[in-house]
Amino acid sequence: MATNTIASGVPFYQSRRFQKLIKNIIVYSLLTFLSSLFIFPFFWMLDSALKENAQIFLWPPQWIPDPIAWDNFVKAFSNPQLPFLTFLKNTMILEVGIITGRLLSCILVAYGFARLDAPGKNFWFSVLLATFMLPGAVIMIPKYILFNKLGWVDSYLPLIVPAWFGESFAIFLMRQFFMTIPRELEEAAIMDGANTFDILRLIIVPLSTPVLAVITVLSFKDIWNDFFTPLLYLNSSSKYTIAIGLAYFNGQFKVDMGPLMAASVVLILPLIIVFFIAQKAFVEGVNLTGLAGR
Amino acid sequence: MSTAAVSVTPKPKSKRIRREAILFYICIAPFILGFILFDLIPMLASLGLSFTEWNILTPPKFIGLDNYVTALTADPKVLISLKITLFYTVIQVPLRLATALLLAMLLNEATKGMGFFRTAFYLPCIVSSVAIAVLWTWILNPVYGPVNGLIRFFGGEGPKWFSDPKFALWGLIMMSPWGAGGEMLIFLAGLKGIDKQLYEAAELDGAGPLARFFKITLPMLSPTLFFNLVMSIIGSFQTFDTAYVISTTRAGTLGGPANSTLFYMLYLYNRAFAGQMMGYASALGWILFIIIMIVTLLVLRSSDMWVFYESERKR
Amino acid sequence: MKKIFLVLSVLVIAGMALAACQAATPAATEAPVVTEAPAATEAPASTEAPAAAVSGTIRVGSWDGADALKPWEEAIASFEAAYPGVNVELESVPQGYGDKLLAEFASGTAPDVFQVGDGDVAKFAAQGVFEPLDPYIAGEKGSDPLDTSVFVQAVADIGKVDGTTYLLTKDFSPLVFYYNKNLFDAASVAYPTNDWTWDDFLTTAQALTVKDASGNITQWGVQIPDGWGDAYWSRGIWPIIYQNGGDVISPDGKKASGYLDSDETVEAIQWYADLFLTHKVAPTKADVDALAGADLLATGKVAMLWTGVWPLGDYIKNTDISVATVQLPQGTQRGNSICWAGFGMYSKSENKDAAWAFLRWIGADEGARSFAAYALTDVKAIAAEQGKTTDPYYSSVMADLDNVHPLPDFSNPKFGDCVASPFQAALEGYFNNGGDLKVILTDVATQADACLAK
Repeated sequence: MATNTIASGVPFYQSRRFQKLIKNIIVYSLLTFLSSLFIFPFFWMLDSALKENAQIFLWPPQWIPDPIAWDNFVKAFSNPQLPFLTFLKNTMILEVGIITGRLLSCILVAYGFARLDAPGKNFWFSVLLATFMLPGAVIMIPKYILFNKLGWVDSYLPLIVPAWFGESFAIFLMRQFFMTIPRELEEAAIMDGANTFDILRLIIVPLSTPVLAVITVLSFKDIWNDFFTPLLYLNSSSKYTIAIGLAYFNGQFKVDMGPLMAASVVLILPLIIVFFIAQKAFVEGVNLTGLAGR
Repeated sequence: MSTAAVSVTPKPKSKRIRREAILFYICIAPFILGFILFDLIPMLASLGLSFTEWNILTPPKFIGLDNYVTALTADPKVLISLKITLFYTVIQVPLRLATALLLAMLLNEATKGMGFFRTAFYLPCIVSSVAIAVLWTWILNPVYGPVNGLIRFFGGEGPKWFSDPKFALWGLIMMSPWGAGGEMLIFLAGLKGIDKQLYEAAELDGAGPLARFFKITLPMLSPTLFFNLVMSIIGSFQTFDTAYVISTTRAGTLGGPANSTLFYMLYLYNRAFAGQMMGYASALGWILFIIIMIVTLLVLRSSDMWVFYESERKR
Repeated sequence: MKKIFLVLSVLVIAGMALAACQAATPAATEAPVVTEAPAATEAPASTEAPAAAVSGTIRVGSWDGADALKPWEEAIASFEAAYPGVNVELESVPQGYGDKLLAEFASGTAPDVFQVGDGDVAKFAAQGVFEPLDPYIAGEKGSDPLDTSVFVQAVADIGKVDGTTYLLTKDFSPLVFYYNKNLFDAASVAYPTNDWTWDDFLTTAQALTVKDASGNITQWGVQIPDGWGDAYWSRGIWPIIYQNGGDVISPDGKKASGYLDSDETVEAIQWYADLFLTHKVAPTKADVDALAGADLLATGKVAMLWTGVWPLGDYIKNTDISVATVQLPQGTQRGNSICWAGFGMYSKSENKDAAWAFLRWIGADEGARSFAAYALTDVKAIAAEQGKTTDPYYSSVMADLDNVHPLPDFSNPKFGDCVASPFQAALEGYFNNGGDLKVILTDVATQADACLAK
């Protein structure tokens, strides 16, 4: 361990290492405290999932379930009316179809907004923002009528196709992010003869992994949890998604807490897995060293 | 590759501008197309409907501006719900963003166990709103919930939270920071995009942590902050899911108790589907649209003063 | 005559019972729990269906989901066997059923047959969404005439608006008065009888409300007006008004003044509110919320309960309590209200003949048997097989059917929005803030009149 002074002659408590130690202590204890607050809901869900209904709402809370109600899980997933594997397959179809389209189209559109100038640019950017501002409930029925006229009802088309034409949230977020990428990189590439597609492929996308990862994770979660739009446009229950399956628990059994919690817990796991995988992109960050030297 | 390779004759400025404009429109073409195909017609339809009386089942009846007049002058619930929504927004947006920023910064500092902490903070976001509502009705349960239990431990008497008109909205506000995971991720992405060299240079110059935060982090983060701010405000005005589930978890009146959680969107939804007054609901929707637009424009205008884009073209 | 109505009986076994009691076809309300019974073996008396004449595909909409889909599957299976040319596609929408239905109406693509809650019948009928069924019943259209004497008229009539039949009954439930014999025995209190008056009821409720050492109530006398803690559930409060000779709307459906604010009505509501506020024999909404989700009767927290017939099956199975039922007490007279769900045919259906065949199947024929296994049916023959009038639990339920008042929603499609909802809000206000009930209700009635007139 360190002696009371270090090589440079500065007393330990003023040294960089000490400061760093203090900082780490503060940071990690805050993190631990806060994360336990945040994890708590999930822990409570897991705890409830393993309890008989009557025991879920006791005070003081009985943390160790007794007896352990494993059959909540069985009840939740062995119901022949609720084929969760089919629901899973359907949900994954939506996830892949929507996220792919969203990423591809939004990168292009966001780049335009971030980098290029044109008359009418502000107008179209306002249109972009405006699409958030009108409440969905008000457009719901006209949209339904529109998709019905196209013959797309009872299919995944109303959900997937629009994603290939950009999605306002992702476009906006990417635009903000792209605008932080220094232009010098692109200018250099243009000088080297790169066209727009090259720029996107070789510069923008690699540097944007954090924001692309964020959009992927958020989209995955939104699509996974969205129950009303699929429920509206799908008629055949064989096409239903996981979120709709979960909705069955809430409506039907006067909130049958045990199975509801059990199902919720299991159905969160894929989201956590996706999140874990996407995390690498967050960690990598963006390293722009070497830029200044050009 | 070699710098000697290219010596391009500079194109005339106008041609460059035109080329750029064409490129721009090619880039955003998917968005324009999608908008026209899937959004424009429904939006125009709903605007048209806002000037009618329509119960969905029989043909709409044109009534001019009546819906707007009624909403703004003769319907007390509209003003009540606007007040509630505004109050909620003003309080929970800063709360939520501050939480998200704090978490993101903590995460940015930590190197060990980042994966675990990040997941922990994001977790409440991905739980379904039904489960969240059930969870919070338990947390804020006047008799059996931990919050009141804690208050009792310190000798106090906790309020009845969701059963008390004076506290129900505060219960909802308390729930808000828990869901800051999404904003946190976005801040994190933004933080990661800040060049470390800036910090190193500042440290060498003797800048302390506070100075580094205000002079480097915040400005470099401002585009992300701008995004989160705008999206949070817009989202907050349109609060529906959480309020709806809490409001209906224990039956009772919509927006209860006693209209204390009657968010604007709850009322709109009620008018549209329970009251079958789609024309009126459409008008309510467009009123909200205008309000959100004004607020967003204000934030946008102000953004010129505090948002800093590193790549801004020098004019 | 009474006996004919009362010829209904059933054997209820474990499982869950389904009935629909919503003020409107649910947007996101919960459908209560479902009970099962063994299917009876004989077909009810009805004409043989000419199966070959009908073909095509029909879509059927329902808010039932998960286990409540079982009767549907049985009914559809038996139907498709009897009518091989028809393919039935069930569209179950567990939440947001009402919203989706409205969207489908707007685009003209609603299912051929769909389920409707009592609160929506008048509204939808007025807006031309249903196909009138009388021509089909008479055999002028379609190929399966129906003898409507197979139904309990009082119940089947709920499917009619202004004399035209639009819907066949799926199931129904009046309000039932449950009590837990164990708690009565423990307090040495006499069991409720069918002759009880309001005073008897109140005294007993007080005797059965138990406090602990620090004055907190650990057991309430009664949970009213329903089993899931909604003290302002209007459908459960109407019986009390009726029992005092009051009403909520004029018979022609045009005015609430003079009815909702009449002395009898005010008196009735006052008595009801006093149960919570003055005598404290009933748990308030806050009390029930605090017990979050627990079934108060099943866990011994209340001695008596008023609600529909849906949990009866579970209570019978529950060995912790010894449940029995009795008719609702009387004020100056008897009164009860009914919750009801039915099936109707879409006026824009493209295969009305097949739709009618299916409708008839589930409303009156073999299919009705599948639904009757889970809830109360209005088909007399099936009910007779089930033995409901003599059944110790169901006899009082059936007896009270006589006292059911017509649904106020039927006298005016705007009733729910103009009268029931403001009434609930006003009642909640009274519970929270007090005031003068006569003044409050007069206010509500005046505003309701204006709303109804629009």
